[in-house]
Amino acid sequence: MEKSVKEVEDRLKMLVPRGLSDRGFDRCCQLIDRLAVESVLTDESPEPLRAKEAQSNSWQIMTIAASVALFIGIGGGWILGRHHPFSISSSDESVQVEGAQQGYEVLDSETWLAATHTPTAYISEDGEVREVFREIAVTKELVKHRQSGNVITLETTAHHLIDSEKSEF
Amino acid sequence: MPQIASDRGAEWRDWLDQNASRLLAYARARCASAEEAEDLLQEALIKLWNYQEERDFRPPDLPLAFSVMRFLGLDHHRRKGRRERRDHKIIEFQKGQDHWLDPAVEDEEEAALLRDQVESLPDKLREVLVLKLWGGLTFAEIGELLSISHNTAASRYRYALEQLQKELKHLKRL
Repeated sequence: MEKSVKEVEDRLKMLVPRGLSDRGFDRCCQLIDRLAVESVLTDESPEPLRAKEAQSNSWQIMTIAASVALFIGIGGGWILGRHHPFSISSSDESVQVEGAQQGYEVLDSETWLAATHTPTAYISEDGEVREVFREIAVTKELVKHRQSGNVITLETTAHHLIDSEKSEF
Repeated sequence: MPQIASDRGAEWRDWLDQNASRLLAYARARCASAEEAEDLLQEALIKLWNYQEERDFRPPDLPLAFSVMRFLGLDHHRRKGRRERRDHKIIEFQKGQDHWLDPAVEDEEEAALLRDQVESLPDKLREVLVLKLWGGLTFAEIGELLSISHNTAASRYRYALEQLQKELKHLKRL
């Protein structure tokens, strides 16, 4: 390369590209963390059986633990509140009876899908083309304990394995 | 966060730390502002993450990253429209502060001149220059990325340097 052109190249090397702004870098890191978590939640890459079992077991345990916690919370509320008729006046008798029995009131509830996995197609034993995929549903409930007036948010996660006939579309 | 997600996240953050400035330089040469370039980089991260699913979500090779950035950059251009892009560019360059290259040595007037000239090179030439000098790609990798032969990539690189040399000589005379 001609000397003067080579000099230009050397001078260009003295220029340094600007990096990400601090805010930009933080945003990218947050994005990476989110992608990493989502990839683990929907991970179906081949793994040693034991690891996979442990993983699925941990999800089952978490789901069971959440259900037990919910049951204890509701049941506990009912036991504590059963000897004390609740004092909230309501014209709807059925709501009163239900509230008195359960000791809590669901103020708000919403359910959404946190993640789904791309369906995997397979052929069943009888030759039918089917697809299987996983859905993670999150339910968030705002619950008020009638006796104490405490309001808590319950969040439960349910994992559903959907196995259905493959759609033509 | 589960350990496996934490490990993957850490690997990608290291990868980003090493390569963000070179990827951003490439994106910056295709976008009207630094903010747009950062958005483009984020879009690329999502695409790359999905591509790497087959490779156990390991951080990607640099040529693949540039390839994704290029694809997204072209798409970005199409979406924005030529006129809007041109107007933006004029506004940004008139501000005189939104550069994407910094002189490594301070108060070097010639470096600042050179930077301005690089920024005003034709897209085709600047692209090869950025990929070679600051992207760290070989001519073969650049050729593959831009769908041109490695000889064409090398010629464009040399032509870009010659253009810069001419401009600098001209500016020095003024």
